[in-house]
Amino acid sequence: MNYKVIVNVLGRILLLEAILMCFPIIIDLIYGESNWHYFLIPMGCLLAISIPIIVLLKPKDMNMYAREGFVITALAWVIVSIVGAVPFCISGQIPSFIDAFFESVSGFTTTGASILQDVEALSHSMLFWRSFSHWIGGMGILVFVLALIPNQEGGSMHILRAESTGPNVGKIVSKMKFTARILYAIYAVLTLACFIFLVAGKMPVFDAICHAVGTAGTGGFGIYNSSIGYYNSTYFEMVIAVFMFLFGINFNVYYLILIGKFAEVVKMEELRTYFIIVILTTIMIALNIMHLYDGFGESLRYSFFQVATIISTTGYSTTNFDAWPTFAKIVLFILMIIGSSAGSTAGGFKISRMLILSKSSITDMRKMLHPRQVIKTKLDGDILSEDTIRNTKIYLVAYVGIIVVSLLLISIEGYGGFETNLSAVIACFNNIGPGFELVGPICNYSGYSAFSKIVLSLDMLAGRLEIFPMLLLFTPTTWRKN
Amino acid sequence: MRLIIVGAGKIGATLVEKLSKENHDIVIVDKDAKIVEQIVNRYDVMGVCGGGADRMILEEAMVENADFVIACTSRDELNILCCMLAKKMGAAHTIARVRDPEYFMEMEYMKGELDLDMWFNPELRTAQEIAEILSFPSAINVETFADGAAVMVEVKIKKDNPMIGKSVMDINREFKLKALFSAVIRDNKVYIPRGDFIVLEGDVIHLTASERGITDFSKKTQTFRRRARSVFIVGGGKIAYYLAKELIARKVIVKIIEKDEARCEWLSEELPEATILHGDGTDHEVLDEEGIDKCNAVVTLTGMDEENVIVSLYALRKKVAKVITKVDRSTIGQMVSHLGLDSVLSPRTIIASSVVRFVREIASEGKARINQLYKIHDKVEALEFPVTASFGYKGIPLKELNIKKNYLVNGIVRDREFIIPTGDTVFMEGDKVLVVTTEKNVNDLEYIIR
Repeated sequence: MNYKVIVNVLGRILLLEAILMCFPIIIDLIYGESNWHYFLIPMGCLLAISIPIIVLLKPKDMNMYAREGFVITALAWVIVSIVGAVPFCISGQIPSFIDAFFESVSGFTTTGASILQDVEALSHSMLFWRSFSHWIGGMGILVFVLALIPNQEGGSMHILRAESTGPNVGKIVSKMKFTARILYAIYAVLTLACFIFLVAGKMPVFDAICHAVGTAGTGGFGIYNSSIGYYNSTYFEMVIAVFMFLFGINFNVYYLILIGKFAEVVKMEELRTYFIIVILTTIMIALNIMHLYDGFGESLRYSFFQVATIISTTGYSTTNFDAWPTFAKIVLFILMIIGSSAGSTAGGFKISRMLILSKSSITDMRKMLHPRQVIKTKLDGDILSEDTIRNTKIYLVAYVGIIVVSLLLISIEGYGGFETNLSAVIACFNNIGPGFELVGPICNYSGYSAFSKIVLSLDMLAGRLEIFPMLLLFTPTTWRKN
Repeated sequence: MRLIIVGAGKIGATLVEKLSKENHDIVIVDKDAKIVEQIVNRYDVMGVCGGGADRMILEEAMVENADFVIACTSRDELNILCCMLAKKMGAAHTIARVRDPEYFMEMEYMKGELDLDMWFNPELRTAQEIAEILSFPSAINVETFADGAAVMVEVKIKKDNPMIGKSVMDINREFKLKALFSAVIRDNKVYIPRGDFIVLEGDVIHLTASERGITDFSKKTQTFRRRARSVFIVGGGKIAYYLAKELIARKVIVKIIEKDEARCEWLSEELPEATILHGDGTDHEVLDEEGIDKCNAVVTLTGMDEENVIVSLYALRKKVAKVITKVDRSTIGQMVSHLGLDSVLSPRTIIASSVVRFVREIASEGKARINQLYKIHDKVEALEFPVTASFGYKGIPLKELNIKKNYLVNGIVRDREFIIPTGDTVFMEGDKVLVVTTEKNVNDLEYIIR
């Protein structure tokens, strides 16, 4: 394993995080809450560590292989989350380090699960840092680094693959640095659009910034205890719901639209399925909850927002959906698992994987009837390779396995019933945030023990990185010399 | 430059390797998904999986704004078709690999019809390269510049060479050489030697001189070997055919040994002047019977790298003056470099450098072009630039020009005469200037002057 290249890339990531910490300092200086030194201290440490690493530890060859790609990605996320927890902890606003770590992981992985009883008690800079971490983590911190490193040698593909979501990760243009830049440009423009719409509706600028970055990363940290419900404004809810929906779409779609290849966009089955799922479930839930609200219009408003927030794995809330009828809750639970499109900032199992699995299962079942039939599974009109299908099946096994093991581990302490624990694992692992009952939209994760919080934090990381980088980090063969 | 390379075989992969180092935007197209994925993992390029003459696939590779489409699959027809299609769809330049001798005859005539900007034939280029080496047998490798007015030879310093232990300055004084030391490779590192550089045994030196200068040099340093008069070729493939044609034109006696009878018949039809032998070239009895030890040079060109190496080693033991080995996998070339085989050629590296040069020429469009590019080593290139009317430093002595570090003005060709540059030499319009450099992506002569 090329340790030097790993350390060098990690150094660059720490430097980047130090630079990103400037933003909460600026926010703090604007509000004059004198919390800036809580960011300046970790920032100074990061600079003191990262600059010597980058300058002194120049690797002879920048070659990376699949193993280095996985290790760099997993380590980077763990380290970035630990460092991101430091301001919360040393400021005393989240005194326990485990809690601060949970909050920070929840931020970077765009989960939005919180342990805070009273969000409004945090200072502006802390609230901003929480939401901003969604934005950094949404598109991926390593993709950001890839956009900045001038001329990469080979191997950067492994990092993109380890950090991006979905079964088939590819570059959109031939140079990695331009691919990363295009992705970030689309991301930034959409975020800005969301911000402008919010400000146009007279949302305070600070709130609009926090919600725009939180929506973009499909994170879901609110800045009020009742999240988006605080405003009780249909306009804000619809703007955020629509943008959550948009950030759940594969970013390649936006690129294809930009270069005018509409035919290819129409061809994408995942996109079509995403639209169909959202429309169908919105109507189903709206009908189911109609008796709770006055009129279909009102129930449609709540139903669309909840569907958008859950399927895009954001986790903002406008109402306590835990009080909804069982049917509506089950639909939301299924949406939690499905998640959004591959190549978006959202989490979950991903619609494309669902499509691959169901299509290949149908193919296999037809083969049972006609054992001699030669038949290929297709997605978007292209034949799926056996490798892709096999990898998706392996992913399903790992996915279910992690849910089972985590459920077992967090149930040891005896906090929460079956529904609470299962929804907590699902909501963390799929990067959503709120679950049901004790972890529902009006409650939080503070009741869990430190051990369970660590388990859930690792679930969030595993969910964001799509399992394998985290799993391989803890596998001895990864670290073996030969 | 946006490049699309169709076909990820041996040549395609080498082109990706060389061109991605030059910082181009590359899309590789191949039918085999596994190979495409391997390349995408290795280099910073994009992969598209599909056939090269498929309009949808070319569209996906964004052919409409590609500067180059290089078709190098193993099928000539596909390559030509792919290039025609790409041109129609908006590609600026197309390059096709065409290697069938039947097509190749008509290629220059058809080039305009097919709207090809360049076509290349790896086998032909390799054959030409081998022919060059055979005319300077003391060299491992030969590269000609300025239409043959200047020659760069690669010579290995063997035991008993009178130059060992002497500095470059002393050697020039003692032997009164009309040649210039361009580069020295020692332990796989390259040095651009200064006057105080001391030559050691085992060094591989690159010398630039006129053709006469080289002969003079090899006589004085007792490395002289006569130009090969009879050549024994093992394996009768395409390279052998082109090489034999070239050698026969130079009045060299050629013997080709080939296993396949039908191929032998075809060769004897096409090459009546050559002796075509039907037999197994790896059988030493056959080789002995046909007098391998009597000829001046042996060239091994079978399709198997291992066979070529073994036959070459046998020829060396038989004290054949010059042995040239063709290997397709360049890694094998590195592995056998300790066995005493010095002229080991790999067609794909030869062809890759000529494609790279062509791409760089187009890339520097409008400016002073490069006439020639020769990769001495991974990190060192020899380039030939014309001095054009717009060149701003004409008539100024070299010692007054501030030439950048890592550049060596390696010679000037004026009216087909090779001039070894001194401090008083000046550049004049119409000159061809040879430059050796460790810098990459140089495409303008003015660039070397601070």
